[in-house]
Amino acid sequence: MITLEHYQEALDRFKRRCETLGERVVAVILFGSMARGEISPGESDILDAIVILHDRVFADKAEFCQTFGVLVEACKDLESSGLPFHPFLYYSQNEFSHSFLSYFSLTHSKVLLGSDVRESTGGSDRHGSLNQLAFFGCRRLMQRAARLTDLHTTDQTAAQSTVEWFLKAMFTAAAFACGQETFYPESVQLVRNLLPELNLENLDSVIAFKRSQAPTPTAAREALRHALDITEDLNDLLEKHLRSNNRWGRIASLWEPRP
Amino acid sequence: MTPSSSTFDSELVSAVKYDLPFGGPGLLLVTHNQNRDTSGLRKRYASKESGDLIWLRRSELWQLSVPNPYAVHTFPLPYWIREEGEVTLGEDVRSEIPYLRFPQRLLAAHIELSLFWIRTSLILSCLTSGNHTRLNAGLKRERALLMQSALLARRIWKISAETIRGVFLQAYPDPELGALLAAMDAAENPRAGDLDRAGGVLGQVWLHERFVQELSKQAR
Repeated sequence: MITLEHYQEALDRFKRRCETLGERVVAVILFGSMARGEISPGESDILDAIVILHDRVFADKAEFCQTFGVLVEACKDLESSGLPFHPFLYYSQNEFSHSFLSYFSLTHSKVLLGSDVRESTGGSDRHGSLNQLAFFGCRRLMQRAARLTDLHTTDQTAAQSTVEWFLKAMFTAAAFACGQETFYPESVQLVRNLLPELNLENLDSVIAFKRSQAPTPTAAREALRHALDITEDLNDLLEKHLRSNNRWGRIASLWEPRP
Repeated sequence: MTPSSSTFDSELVSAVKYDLPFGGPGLLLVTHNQNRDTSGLRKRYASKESGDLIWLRRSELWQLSVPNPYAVHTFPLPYWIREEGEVTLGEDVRSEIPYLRFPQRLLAAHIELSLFWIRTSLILSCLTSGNHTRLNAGLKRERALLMQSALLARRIWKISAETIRGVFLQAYPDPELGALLAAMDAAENPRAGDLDRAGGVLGQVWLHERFVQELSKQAR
């Protein structure tokens, strides 16, 4: 049985690996459920962390290869822990200071190793308006998934991945469109509050499908159809929201004027 | 069902076929602004041959110019539909698709996304699993897509997988970028056995990282 101790052991081992890199590591920042102390054993994945490397690591091939040898071993350690695993993020110090990650690294995070560089990051607003519109770009990807809803036999694994992506990406993008930067699962509640007219009566069945151990093709088609319907409803409400909040002028300025 | 001028669909304003250099074919269905339910249309027009299906109301054509952060290969979508799309049904609404005023933002956005996704889901993931074939193919594609976004920043969109390298080097005659591309080409065609050496693979990743860093200077 997977327990909290398994997560702590994996984290300690990861930290020890990073420590061997000495000054090449400027900081390691932990975010997500581990940083918030909200680990759900067996469900929470490992490791939501950002390894910030000294700029010189990227300038010198030998130093880069040596450093990455260690980082790859750290990934292998995490993978062999038996916990749900995905690789951590890495940035040079310069890249991190311009990254869009700055927001959540500042709000839901803690420093695992090295200096606290979070305060020195200003975040990037270079794509602010484009980020606000990302929902409408993501909508096209959900439309792509629509084909699965019409198939007689649906690949349940593909359907579950699509539904998982829908929950994480679409609600986060919807929150961004409302001017709120937050991530799944908080983004679902936030969107629910900001757009009370949104019909989410089928959302629970979509979430249940994502968690289902043995989903049927019928359940897969139904969950995808619901996800698609919610996406289309969100599309209509978000455009209305953007147009009614005096933000449309700024958004429209993103495009070349019509001849 | 492939739309043709001989068919008529009252829900539709227009159907436009398009083809992306790194994304394959697709079909854009433009419906009337009051249209609410597209399930019937989807069923009638979805087919393997037509590729990706996009449906938008006429008033939503601006959405085609919004980059999808999860599909950087579609960044030039508005150009390919507006300039090269084939209207197979209804009105020609292509000129209603707007272009971004500052396409340089696409390159900057692409680089940020690359640092986030490619490093985790490709580089570290493949190095951990030892899947060097997937890593090489993935890095090669990502470089091509970065070049595509860099060219879009200069409003150059008409490229193919075959021409992109040459067009890119013409548009960006930076000696460092050229040297890095040449070094990556050489690293992708190593002598027998070289690829199995971890140093060789990490060396390729380093070259890719250097390329991204050099390119990011152009995005500032």
